[in-house]
Amino acid sequence: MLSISLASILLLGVASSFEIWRIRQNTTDGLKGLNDQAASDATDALRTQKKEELQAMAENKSSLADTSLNLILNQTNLVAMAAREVYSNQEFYTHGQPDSELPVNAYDFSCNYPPETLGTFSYHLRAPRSLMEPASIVEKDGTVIKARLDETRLSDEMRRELYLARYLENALGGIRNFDNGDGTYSGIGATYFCLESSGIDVLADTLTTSMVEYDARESSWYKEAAKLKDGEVYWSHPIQDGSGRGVALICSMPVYVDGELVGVAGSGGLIENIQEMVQSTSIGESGYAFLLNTGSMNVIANANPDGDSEINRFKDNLLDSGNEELTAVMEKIREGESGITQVTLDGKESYLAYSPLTTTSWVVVTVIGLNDASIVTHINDLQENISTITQQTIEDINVKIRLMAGLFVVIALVITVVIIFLSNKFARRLTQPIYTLTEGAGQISGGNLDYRIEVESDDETALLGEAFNHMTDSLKDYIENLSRITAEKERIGTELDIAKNIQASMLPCIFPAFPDRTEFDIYATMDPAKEVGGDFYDFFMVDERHLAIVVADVSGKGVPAALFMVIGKTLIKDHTKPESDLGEVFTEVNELLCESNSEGLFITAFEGVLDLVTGELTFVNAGHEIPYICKGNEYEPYKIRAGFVLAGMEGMRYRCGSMQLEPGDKLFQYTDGVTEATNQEKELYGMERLREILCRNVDAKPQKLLESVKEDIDAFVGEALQFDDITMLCLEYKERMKVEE
Amino acid sequence: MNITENLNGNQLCLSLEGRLDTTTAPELEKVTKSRLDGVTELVIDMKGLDYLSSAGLRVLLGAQKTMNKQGSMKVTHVNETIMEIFEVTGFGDILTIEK
Repeated sequence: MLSISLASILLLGVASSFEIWRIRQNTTDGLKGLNDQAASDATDALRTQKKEELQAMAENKSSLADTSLNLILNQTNLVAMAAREVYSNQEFYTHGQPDSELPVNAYDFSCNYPPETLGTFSYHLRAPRSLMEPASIVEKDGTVIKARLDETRLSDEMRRELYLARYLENALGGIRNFDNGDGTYSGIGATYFCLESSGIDVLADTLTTSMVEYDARESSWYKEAAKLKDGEVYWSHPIQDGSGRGVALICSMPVYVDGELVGVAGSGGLIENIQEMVQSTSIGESGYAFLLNTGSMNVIANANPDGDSEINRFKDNLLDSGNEELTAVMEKIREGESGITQVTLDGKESYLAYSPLTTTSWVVVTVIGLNDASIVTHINDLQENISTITQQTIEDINVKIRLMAGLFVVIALVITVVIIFLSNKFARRLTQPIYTLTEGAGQISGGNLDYRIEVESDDETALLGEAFNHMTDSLKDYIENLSRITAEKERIGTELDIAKNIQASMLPCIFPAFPDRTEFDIYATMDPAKEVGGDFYDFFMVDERHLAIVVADVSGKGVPAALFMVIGKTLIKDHTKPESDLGEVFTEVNELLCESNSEGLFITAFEGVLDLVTGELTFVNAGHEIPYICKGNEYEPYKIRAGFVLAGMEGMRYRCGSMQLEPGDKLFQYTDGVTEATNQEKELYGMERLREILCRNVDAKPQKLLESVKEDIDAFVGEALQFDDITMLCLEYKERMKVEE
Repeated sequence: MNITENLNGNQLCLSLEGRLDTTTAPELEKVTKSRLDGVTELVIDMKGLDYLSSAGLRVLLGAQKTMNKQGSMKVTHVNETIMEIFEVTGFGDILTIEK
């Protein structure tokens, strides 16, 4: 029980430890998972945020660029609208005179400040050299700086148009809107209108000096715009400004009146501000923007200073990068799409947002790496925070687990002590009665039957103790009984021994029995099967010349038979008188025996009386074996008709017989113990075997004869038990008794 | 020894087998003392009897005496050896014997 309890506690402990460990593990795993999840979520969120920021940035920059370019477009539009108005209403402006005279100075133009100043702008003309009065041309360093138109070379139409162009002054003066008011200008550098008929253009310019000789119809802004339909706009590629003011852009559009091209309006602006705007873009830590011209897929401006980056290396045509992802995006951009795509750029996963301008075929593209420091740093910070919290939580759990384990150990120890105490107590309660019983059993088995077992218990051991006590009592009674019976038996045995001795002493047992008688020799033996036998023999002198012999067998064995035998023997001896007839002797004895025979015993008996003088043997046989008579060389059974056994039945009459013995003759009488001696094969010794052994000892004296017969019987019987008394008697008639006459 | 009892009305037949001697005679005596009430004809069959001692004779005598008072008794299938014993002991005169 103790071990079961301890094992339970141990098991519980192991299970609990495992459970606690598992909870700790789960918590740790959970926190770690949380950390990862949080980092992942935060990364996603930050990236999404960055994407949105990137997209917004692209759209914003695109929109800003559009605003700048729209200023140029609007100015161009303004000039074009003014030109269309003037051309459409020529009569009004020419006062109905098709060839209105121009003011004289209208034909002069120079590179210096014009005759009419438009704020800080100068309004002036430029003309092809072929229309100049050769004599008026003033050159400086190979450049015409002053000239006058040759009136003769001007057609009427040219003159009229030149006249009308004067009315464009106000429209061209719109350039003043870009005056910053501090002597600088932003956006537009010049605005102009070229007359189709002469190639002369009128312009307003931020320059204080300007070209004089110029055929606008040779320039691309004119030629490209002239190909366009009414209302369409031409944007030039960024080009280096002819006056060295930086990269410029020209916006031009044709002006049609009644389907006829009358001229092209145009404005030129520096796009430095746009470039600056793009190049100053910074997104996160490493994000940047660039401006792409989808016409030839070249980069106009780039905020990425890294010369080795893919954008810079392939800035002339980004379709040539060989980067398939980049190329795919560029195709989309060229189609005019806006959006955001994840690509691998310069070996790094990056977001690429793009937003096309509405005015030109330009696209603002913004780029940021997925692992931009602005994202990663946040994530790292976040992860660090979570890790710290996780670590703290685990530490917390560990402390609690240690506390729990300590508490558990204490509880387990207390429980163990209590269990050991209780089980010892319980065991003592169980085993104490058993010890008592064991001790008692030892005492009892040691022979102390007076020992009482006292068991104080309310269970089976008490019953067992009582049973032990009961057993001891019974044992005591039994042993006392046994002792008594044994004593009794010993007493009876002793008495039987005495009886045996008495019986033996009643039989004549001193041989030679009649040492002074030479006429005969007699010898007899009786071997009882039990202590006291039922056989008996007797011989006595009836008178001087008569010898009586008796051999008898009482049916039954033991004391009753012995007592009956004594009665029988005494009665026979008493009744045998010299003059009495043996038949009458037995008849009388039978009557007497029957009177005192309550047990139904009977006696077979043979009595013979030998007249030693004559050799006549008278005899009577009451159911007994017949004797063997030896006459000469052999013993022969002598047939006698038997009477009934003595004590068998009242009123029986016995008759005696007689035979003649000669000196030298012998008589052998016996009881059925001889012939009915049985060997282990259940064979009877038998009369024939008896006869043979007798005949082999024809010459032997009675004692020797009986010894020989006994030896033969013993040899025959072997190990078998003797059932019956063996009694033998041998009488040798040696010589006649001499009678003194 | 085996004793087989066969009661048929007033007739009791006891078949004996084996040896009737000092050791076994009490068995037969027990039977003859307890079973003879109301029996008028007792038959003792000695077909299987090998040996008869004086103790056995005593039992037979007792039975004969009892039957003398209440009926008759006879001994049957007596072999030569036993017949000899009967003759020697004079029981041949007392018992009704059928060979």
